[in-house]
Amino acid sequence: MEIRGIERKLLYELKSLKVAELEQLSKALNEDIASVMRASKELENKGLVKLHEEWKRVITTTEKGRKALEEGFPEKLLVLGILKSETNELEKILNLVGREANIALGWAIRRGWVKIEERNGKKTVALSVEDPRKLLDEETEEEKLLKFVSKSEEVSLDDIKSKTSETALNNLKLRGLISEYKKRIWYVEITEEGQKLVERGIPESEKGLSEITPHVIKSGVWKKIGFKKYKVEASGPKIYPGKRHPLREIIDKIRRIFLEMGFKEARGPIVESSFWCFDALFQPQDHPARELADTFYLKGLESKLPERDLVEKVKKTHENGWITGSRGWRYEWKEEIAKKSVLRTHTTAVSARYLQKVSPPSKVFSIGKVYRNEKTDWRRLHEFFQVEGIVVDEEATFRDLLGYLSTFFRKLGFEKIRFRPAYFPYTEISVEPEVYVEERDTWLELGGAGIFRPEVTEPFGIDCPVLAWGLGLERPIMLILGMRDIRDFYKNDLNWIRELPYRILRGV
Amino acid sequence: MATLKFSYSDLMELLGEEIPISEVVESLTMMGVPVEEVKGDEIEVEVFPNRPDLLSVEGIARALKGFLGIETGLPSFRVTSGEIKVFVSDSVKKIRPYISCGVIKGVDLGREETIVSLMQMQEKLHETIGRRRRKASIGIYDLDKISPPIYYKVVGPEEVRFVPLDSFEEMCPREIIESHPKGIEYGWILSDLDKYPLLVDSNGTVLSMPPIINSEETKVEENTKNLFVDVTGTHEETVSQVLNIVLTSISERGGVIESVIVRDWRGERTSPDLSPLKINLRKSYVEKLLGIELKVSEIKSLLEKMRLGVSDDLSVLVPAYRVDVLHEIDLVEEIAIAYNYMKFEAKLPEKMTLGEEDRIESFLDLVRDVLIGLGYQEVMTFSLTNEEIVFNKCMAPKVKYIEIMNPKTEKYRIIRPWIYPGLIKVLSNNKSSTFPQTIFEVGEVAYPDEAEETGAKIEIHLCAAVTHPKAGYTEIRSVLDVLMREFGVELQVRPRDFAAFIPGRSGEIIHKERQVGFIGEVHPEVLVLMGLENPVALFELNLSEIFEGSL
Repeated sequence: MEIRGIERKLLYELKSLKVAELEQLSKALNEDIASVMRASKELENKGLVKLHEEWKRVITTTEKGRKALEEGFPEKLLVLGILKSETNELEKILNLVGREANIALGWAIRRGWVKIEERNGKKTVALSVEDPRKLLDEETEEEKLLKFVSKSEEVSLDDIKSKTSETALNNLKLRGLISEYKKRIWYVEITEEGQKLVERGIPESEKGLSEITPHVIKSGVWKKIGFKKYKVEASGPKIYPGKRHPLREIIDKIRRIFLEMGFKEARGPIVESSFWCFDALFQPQDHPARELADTFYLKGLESKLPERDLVEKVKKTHENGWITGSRGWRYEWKEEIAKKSVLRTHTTAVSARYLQKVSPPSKVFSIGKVYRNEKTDWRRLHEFFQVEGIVVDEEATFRDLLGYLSTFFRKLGFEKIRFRPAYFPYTEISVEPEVYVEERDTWLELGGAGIFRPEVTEPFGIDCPVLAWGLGLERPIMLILGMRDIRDFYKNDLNWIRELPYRILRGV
Repeated sequence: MATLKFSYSDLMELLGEEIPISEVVESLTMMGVPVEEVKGDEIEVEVFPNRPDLLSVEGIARALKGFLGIETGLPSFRVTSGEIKVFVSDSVKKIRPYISCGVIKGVDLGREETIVSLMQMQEKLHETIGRRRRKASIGIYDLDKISPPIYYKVVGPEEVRFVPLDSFEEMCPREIIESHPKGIEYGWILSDLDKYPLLVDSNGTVLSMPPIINSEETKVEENTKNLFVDVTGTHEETVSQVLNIVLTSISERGGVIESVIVRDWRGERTSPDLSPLKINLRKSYVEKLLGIELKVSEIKSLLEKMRLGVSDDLSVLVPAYRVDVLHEIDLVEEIAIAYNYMKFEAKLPEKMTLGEEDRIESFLDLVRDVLIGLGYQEVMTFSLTNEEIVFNKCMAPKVKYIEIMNPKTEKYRIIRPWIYPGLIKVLSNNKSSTFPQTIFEVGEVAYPDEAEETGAKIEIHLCAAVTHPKAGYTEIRSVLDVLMREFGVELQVRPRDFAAFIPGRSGEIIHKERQVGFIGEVHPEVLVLMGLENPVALFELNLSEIFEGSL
């Protein structure tokens, strides 16, 4: 630990004082306040001193106060005026005293120094003290106090209170001779560690150049003086590289996995029509997932439906199965419901759009934000990422689906996988892949998968199997990173992100 | 998500066999009824929405008997024909048009589990397939307290008075809607109506006011032996499906189903109709989808395990309580489940396909690379936000934005039209982290736009921000310059004042004479409102606009 000039002096000053005001230290060390502050902060970082602040009420002399000290208090000037003057006519005396005559008179009367009498309609003023000379020589309490205060730039109120009466203090304030305000006082206190260090003795910094500059190099001055040594064992100040967000890291990993498996990437809009989000996926129009309690609907927005022919086929499939061999949902399908714009609830909407233009064999994936009308808590978010993959292939079977899923999850780092039956309105055979979580000794459901129902694919003219799967990303990533609160992803706590090593993110 | 609780011992009683609980849990899971929790004797399972027939322990037991091989094939239900008539008035057509009824005689409700299961099944069916009673709702009554025939009709809000279930005083329909707990909970279904549906017998005794409440007078008790069941609703098929589920489940504990005659404006029919659905299954279809070879006899026994009836030519009979079978494909899943998912050998096809990145995504990745190279940390913020933060606190330029119709919280009410407020928020959350802080986000924003297919224009924006005690315009300007250089785009910054920035220290970013973003030093007023103590400089750039041509 290097301790530079002022820091060293500061520590020695505090050796006996233990704690001192910053200003006091600045005077003692003969350094400006800013430098002492900087040194104190440096020392605080090194754990050798502690800084704390306190608010104090302080008093300072005003301009008026300083004038009163120089020229004398007006009431005394009045007494002097009366003494010197030959007349005792009030008016003349007051003229003699000048500008502050009335104030002077007021105070002189209040103190019982003079009194006013009226004779023959004329006002006169007379001294009412026995020895006016003595009065002039003796300082009043106010004068003493003002003198004391004026000696320094400011005086702490606590210091004064013991020395003077409340009345004197209030009178001065009332007369505008002093003013009171709040001031922050910094205290520097030596720590135990600092104390030990000074007691052991801090070596003076050695002689030598501290910096190597173009001038130093050119002039050759270094040949004579040489350089100061560095303490190379010490770590440097902390710096951080720019990185991808932890969520993005894993998203990228998942992208790579899909690309390695020969999938094409697709994108779709976050604002989606109900048609693509639900109807094209054979979700009946009264399906609970479409209710306001689950799906975000958007004010004033309406979607356009795709080409008439496709809409007709989807309508018929819902109503009676069309030519798919299905019984359909047997209700009246309504266009206006399909036109409602929503924040997409799953990336399966992207897959549905893709079915329009696909020809087998084709493998597609997409990763994107999806939205659910849920209250956000430690387990749930109202918006999160989902990844979705589809395989359109004449020869695709349920066994291939299980093969893709196993490979995908294994590449993601989950070794033990099992499959169990599930239900989704748009897939049949449906399956929920689960991974085994060792630390919790439990199976954790990680998304859904299946083969798209013929009611989904046939309106698009696709008569071969379409394997599909999707999963929410935040949950498996929480497992990988050992996180407890799903909201932490979006808090963007820089301490967390900066300290989270690539090694863990990339699993290397 | 519907869950169901039942006792293990009750399930064993219904199975008629003793199976270890671990085996029960395993079998239920692989049958498609995942077990949520086992607490002592109590088992809690999740029931998928396609299988309302499993919303009772009786239904679960029936399916499990097949899966475990205790009793397989199509369950048979004896229905005797009865004489009870239900007359449906034309007036219900516009109110709640459909009704199906049935009778079940000789039940034993003496055991507590039976009553609990009956109530739970009713409640769960209402919540799921019944769509919170709107689409279908169930009424179960003590038949011996009713004098048939029964009339289904409508009444005015004050036309009739009866004691609702679990109450002590008579109420009229209006009072029930306004003050009875069930009326308050389900009254929305009948809102806007001036007449309400009512079931009443020949003596004028009210059975129920569907879909709100039954009457106290006809209620089922421990010693009830014969039940009358009605289901009313707005979707005819759902109404009869629910009735079938209720009757067949109750009869799992004994009793004989008896039909009733329902007479409505279309004529007379007997109810319930428990005849199974017939679907022809092709062996080749099964094998093609599953990727395994199966003998007809194997397919037959697998389907029988799932309680389906199968003939030798693979004509399949689906029991009337199975509402989920719409297509041949549904039978293929039944076979897969019976076969057991874990017995399938996973494989990967050998066919080659080419992987390909999306052009936009790979471009955005490059943008990230450049900023990361400059030491900028990526952040990710929510795309839903609120007006207060965007316009009042961060003083974003006024634009049209998209409001959510049904937000659950005030915090997330709009789709962000700008992303920089999110970044300022991130900085204000990180006042205790080491400075300097340099962050960026690439993310989507949205505006209303009628020309777009979905009514929304989506753009991808980039925002980069820097903060430390000496942060300023030139520092962030350098970053913008780097982007121009790396991507070979021409951008000009024209002086322009924005509320969010210090006057004279901000500008609009121009690309081909169009404004594509802004850059500047954030106004101290914004900093104070957002609780920031250090200066912030930032720019926000519409990447979609700049790179439209090249993407």
